Amino acid sequence: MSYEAEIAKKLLDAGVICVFADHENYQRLVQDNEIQESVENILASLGRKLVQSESGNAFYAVNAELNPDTKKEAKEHFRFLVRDARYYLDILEYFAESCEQDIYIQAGDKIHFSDMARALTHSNSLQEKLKRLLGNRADSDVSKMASRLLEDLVKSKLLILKDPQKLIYQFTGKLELIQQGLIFIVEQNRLGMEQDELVEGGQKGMSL
Amino acid sequence: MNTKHPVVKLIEDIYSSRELIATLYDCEGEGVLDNADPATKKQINKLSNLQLLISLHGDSYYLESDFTRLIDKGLRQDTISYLNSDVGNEIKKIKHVFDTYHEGKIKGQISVVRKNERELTKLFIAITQRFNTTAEELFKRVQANYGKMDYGNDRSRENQFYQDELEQLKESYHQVDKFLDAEAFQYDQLMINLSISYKGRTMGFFDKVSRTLTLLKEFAYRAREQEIRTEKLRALLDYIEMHPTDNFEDTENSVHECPVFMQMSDRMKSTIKVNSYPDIDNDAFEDAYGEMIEKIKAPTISSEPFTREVSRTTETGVIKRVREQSKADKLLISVLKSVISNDKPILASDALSNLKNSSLSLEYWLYFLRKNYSNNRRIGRRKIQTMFKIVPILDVKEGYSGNAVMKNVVISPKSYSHEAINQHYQGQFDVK
Repeated sequence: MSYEAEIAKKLLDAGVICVFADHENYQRLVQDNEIQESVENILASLGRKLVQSESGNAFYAVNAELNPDTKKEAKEHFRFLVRDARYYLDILEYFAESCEQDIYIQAGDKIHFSDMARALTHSNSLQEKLKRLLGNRADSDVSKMASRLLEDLVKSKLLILKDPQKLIYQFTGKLELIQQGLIFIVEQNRLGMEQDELVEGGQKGMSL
Repeated sequence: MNTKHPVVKLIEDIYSSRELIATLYDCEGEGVLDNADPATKKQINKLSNLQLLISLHGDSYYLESDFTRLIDKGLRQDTISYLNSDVGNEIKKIKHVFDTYHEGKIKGQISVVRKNERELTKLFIAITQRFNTTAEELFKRVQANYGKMDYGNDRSRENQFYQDELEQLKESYHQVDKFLDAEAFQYDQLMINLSISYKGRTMGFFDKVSRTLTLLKEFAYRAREQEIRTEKLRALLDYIEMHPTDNFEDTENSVHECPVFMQMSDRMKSTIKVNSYPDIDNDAFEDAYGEMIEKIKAPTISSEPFTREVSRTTETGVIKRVREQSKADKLLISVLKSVISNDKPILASDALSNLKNSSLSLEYWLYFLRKNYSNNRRIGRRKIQTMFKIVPILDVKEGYSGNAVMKNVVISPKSYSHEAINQHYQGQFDVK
């Protein structure tokens, strides 16, 4: 199979080719114009086009045409994200606390299993958060719970096992796309923007 | 008998295997030690027993991660800090040698002058090289740190460390510069020549410093961007907690503007699962994909006769909503009055059941309460949030953005804490 075919196959299958999880194919797309053109041709013949994420660290395929069908599919995709929004945001909160940092984790960040288990052992709040994330699959053994969460994230392609010996995991470009989608919701709804200003503006007509 | 302290013994064991450790450290992961001689094998066994070396398979080994981190930490402190801490001594040395050289010149001691001339030249070459190599080293590490592309605490701390080092390095350079501008050196040709060549040779130093600074700024900018993204995502989390049933239907009509949603989700049936591989150089390509392309591109033509579905908005629906609003409004004001006069919390459902002959639905009443509260409506001249507390009682369900629906609401005076509300309802709702 040619490189073009391999890349196109992944993209058509809703895959994300990112510098972290698929370094070789990412480099091929970035450095080899011929490969990139061929991939674009294959995608175009199937009504798709190649798009790069905001950071430039990931490629993915989107519907090339904007028509009622593709709009409907975009809505469906949006509903999936809205349905899982709380889960993703809880994941982000969990890892921010686990890594003892204010900012949320992002694509490319690495997670050491040993660090994660250590943080869990010493923090009841983290244990509670993890239990909520795992639902009825929660366990009294924190190490088992940590493994379950990481396995879930690997299955959903948000995480890859970067170093199987040292158990180092890395977040993939898919996380960036999810964050991009969630931020779109925030911006469209002007969430967290000057509450008072909005209240004052919106309430003038409602005052008694 | 004098026995060695265990720490001393440990350090000696590590020291005796220093070359091996350095080799594995350079591998940045797995290192293959095939055809190892007996001495190396002995070192491998010793390090393995100390659990500083982990055996993988065959002749592959890697350094234990905590040990690697310790080396990382130590290395960060070496060359860069060394120059900064030592530059004062270098200056003192130059000054001392210059004084001896100057004195020799006055006294006409040729051998002393020549010896110190050579010494001064060496000192200048050494300090020039140290500035250049330190700047180079700092640049390399900042570049490597930048290339790691993550913005966690560790990376930020490391970056802050480099930023401090860079400032100190610049400070050290200016310290030397200022020292060379001293009046005592202005009349001596040797010092003038050495100063000129020092400045000429450290031109590269400034280039490296400015490139390092650019990378540090770029990193800080990217870290700030992630901070902004975090703030936005936290705002969404807060909103979902407050409005667990909101599915953002209003946003749906514009989602096609965001490329992320134009991607096929891997949970959707329309994702193309390719079992054979597209190859545009191959004639078989069209055959293999023809069917799929047809399926995607062909418009779906129904064989059924065309019938138009007419959507009707009845006037009665609108009137019903206006009436509900008016009732809910009256109820809201009477409930708030009673909460103030009784100074006790009340359940929204109880308030509704007290209303005689009400056709107001509980769902709409709860929605109306939350909407007015989150909009901080004014009653009289005071904002509602300054007088009351509206605490939702949630029922966790699947299929919603927040995975929870609001089943009731407690309306309480502002003075009531969540504990007081729980106490009032005797733990019936477990308000958090």
